[in-house]
Amino acid sequence: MKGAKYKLITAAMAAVSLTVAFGGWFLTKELLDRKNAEFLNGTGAVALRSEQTALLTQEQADEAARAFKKHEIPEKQMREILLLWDYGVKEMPHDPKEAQMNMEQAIETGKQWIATLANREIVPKTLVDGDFDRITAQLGTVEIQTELDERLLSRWMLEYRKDDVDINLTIHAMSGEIWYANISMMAYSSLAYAYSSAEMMALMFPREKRSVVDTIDMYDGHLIKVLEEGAVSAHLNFQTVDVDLTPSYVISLWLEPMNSYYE
Amino acid sequence: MKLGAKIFCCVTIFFSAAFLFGGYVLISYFYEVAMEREVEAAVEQYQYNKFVVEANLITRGKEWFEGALGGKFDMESMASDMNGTVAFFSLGKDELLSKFPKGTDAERLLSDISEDQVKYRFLKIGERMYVLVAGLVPQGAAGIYLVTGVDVQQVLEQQERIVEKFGVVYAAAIAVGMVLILGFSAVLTKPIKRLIAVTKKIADGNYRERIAATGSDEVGQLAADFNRMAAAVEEKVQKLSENARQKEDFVANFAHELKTPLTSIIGYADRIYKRELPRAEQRQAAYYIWNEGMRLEALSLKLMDLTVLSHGEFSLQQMEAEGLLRELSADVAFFMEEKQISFSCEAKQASVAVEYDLFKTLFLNLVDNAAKAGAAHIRVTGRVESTAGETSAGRAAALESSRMISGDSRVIPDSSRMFAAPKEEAARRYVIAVEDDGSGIPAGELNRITEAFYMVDKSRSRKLHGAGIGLALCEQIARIHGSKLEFESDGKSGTRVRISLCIEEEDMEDGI
Repeated sequence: MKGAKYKLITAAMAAVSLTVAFGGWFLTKELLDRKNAEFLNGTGAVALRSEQTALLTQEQADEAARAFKKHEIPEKQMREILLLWDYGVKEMPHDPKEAQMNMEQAIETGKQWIATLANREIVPKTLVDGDFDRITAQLGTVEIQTELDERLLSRWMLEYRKDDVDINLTIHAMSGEIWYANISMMAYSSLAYAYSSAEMMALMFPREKRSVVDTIDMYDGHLIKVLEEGAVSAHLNFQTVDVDLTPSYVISLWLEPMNSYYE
Repeated sequence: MKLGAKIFCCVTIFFSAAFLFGGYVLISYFYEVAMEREVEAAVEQYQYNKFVVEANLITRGKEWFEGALGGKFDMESMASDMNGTVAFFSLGKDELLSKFPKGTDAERLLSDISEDQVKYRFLKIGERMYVLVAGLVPQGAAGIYLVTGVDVQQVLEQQERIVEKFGVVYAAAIAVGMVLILGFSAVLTKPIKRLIAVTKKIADGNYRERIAATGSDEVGQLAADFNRMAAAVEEKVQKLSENARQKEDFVANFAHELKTPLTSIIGYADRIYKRELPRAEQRQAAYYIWNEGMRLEALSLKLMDLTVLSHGEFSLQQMEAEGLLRELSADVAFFMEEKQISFSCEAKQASVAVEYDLFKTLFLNLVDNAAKAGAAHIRVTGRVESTAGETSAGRAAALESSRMISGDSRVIPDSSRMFAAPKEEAARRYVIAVEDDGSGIPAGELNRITEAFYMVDKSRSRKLHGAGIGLALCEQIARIHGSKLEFESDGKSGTRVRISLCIEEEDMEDGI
């Protein structure tokens, strides 16, 4: 009688443990499904990284334009920003912050830069009036840990397109300087070949207050200018490529931090 | 419920619960993180699309915007530049353009939207799950609502795959785990089962059973302790069996010793009662009755002495051994002459610890036994002997036994202070030997002759009024003196009995 009772208890406990083992699985699955459903049924709000909206009234835009002053970036800081841009793993779009140019200003800055080149027919003359088929603009920063004021990392990336001309610009949001430019166009619409690399560099990367300590002509069409403190160098590359047997020009401007620079 | 089954059930329940809980937490966490990342990506897409709208407003101008709101201009080209699936709504929440399938309830998100925040929600569109992000793009007093949808179905599918894989891993882990737990519990309970088997055997009376060594863990220690306990139990049971046998023998012997004189007494009394006997025969019968009565009285007195010795308290006194033995020898001299036995006594001088009356009883019993054994010569010697062969533990045991017999632990320690024997460095004792040339004791009987009522030659003993109690008394007395009787005999040519006493070394001198 006692043995039968023990056997019954043993069988019951074994059944309980197996129920926990296998029933627990279905319970876990059910709980996961419920949690998913709860998550999917919810709504949420995300605050935008914005201190002023990009789109302003005319008055506000005028006021912002007056308020925006180009921030002079020291060469060392410029080098640091360029390094952080290289290290950054992810592009984070955001609305303009205080002391950063808004989209209208960025587009206007780009248009003026293009107009300068168009006046010299480095790009087609038709671009002087700033009438493009398509303009896109995006303000973004890189996701990275730094002690630098994060507003210094923001850059406007713009694309101007008209006919066969495609111009990509990166404008530093606080300085308003163009730190990267890439122009591609059909050769027949440009007189770029008439300018030397140095002349094009002077037009595309005007350094009114910054002197250049060294100019290196690496090879035909590639020019490097080392800035005054030796922390940053500006590169200009002029290439002729054939697209569908039609000659095209690709003019690139970019800044690079100097590896040989030590504070 | 068996221990193995308990271990199996408990570990299975705990293992399953822990595994499932861990899996639930991890999968939930992964899902939340993945979804949050998708929401973040969707907000970024929204931000990008918002830039596209703003760029269009800047480049195309206010007129285009107002025209688009009024349905005058197509917003399709703007939407084509955007990422994800988009929809535009006027501030009045009228749909301007929607790339979502018809019937998609995107308007629900548009309530309570402010300029500095966007709202999101998950929505199943067709067979796929989307996260919709909605926000306001203002233009002066006007503006539009922009809704961006990002497909997150792959996250849900990924989670389903993870849950499926977790299920497979869980099933495999539980299956393997159960086998391991069964094996583990079997290994764990194996020595315990052996212990149970041995316990049953011991309980059935097989006290020699022991457990084989099982290592140095707790179970091994338990087995070792169990073996020790079994050994102690076996020893105790043996002692108890021996005591029981002795008691049975005692009762049987006692009954027999009573029966013999009572038979004589009853027989002679019956004869006097039933017949007219001549005076001489009456006297003879009365003599037998008296004689047997005296024997019964002696028997009862000796039994009383044995009881007193077992439970009484005695104090040992310092005495001169030579004088003591001489005095006792004088007491038996007349008896020896009467029996025509040659008796001699040689004793060295020493101070010994004795209880006089008890020691005298011991001495007289030993001499009397020698006489009863038909000895022609009895020789008593007393001398100091080195006890180098005797271990201190043996002496301590002897002293301890005397303490137990005396029933008062204060008695012996007091005398121990007086005499040298208890000291570790004094390994000499006074040995008294009684030697005779009588019939001797067979070697096989030597270890039983101190039992009460045990007689080597029963007929001769009874003839000589012996009851087999004398040596039992002597053994008790020897124990009270911290010693024991040592018998040496070949069973043919006499017996030698020795008893050793504590001595006081300072007073020891050579005697007669």
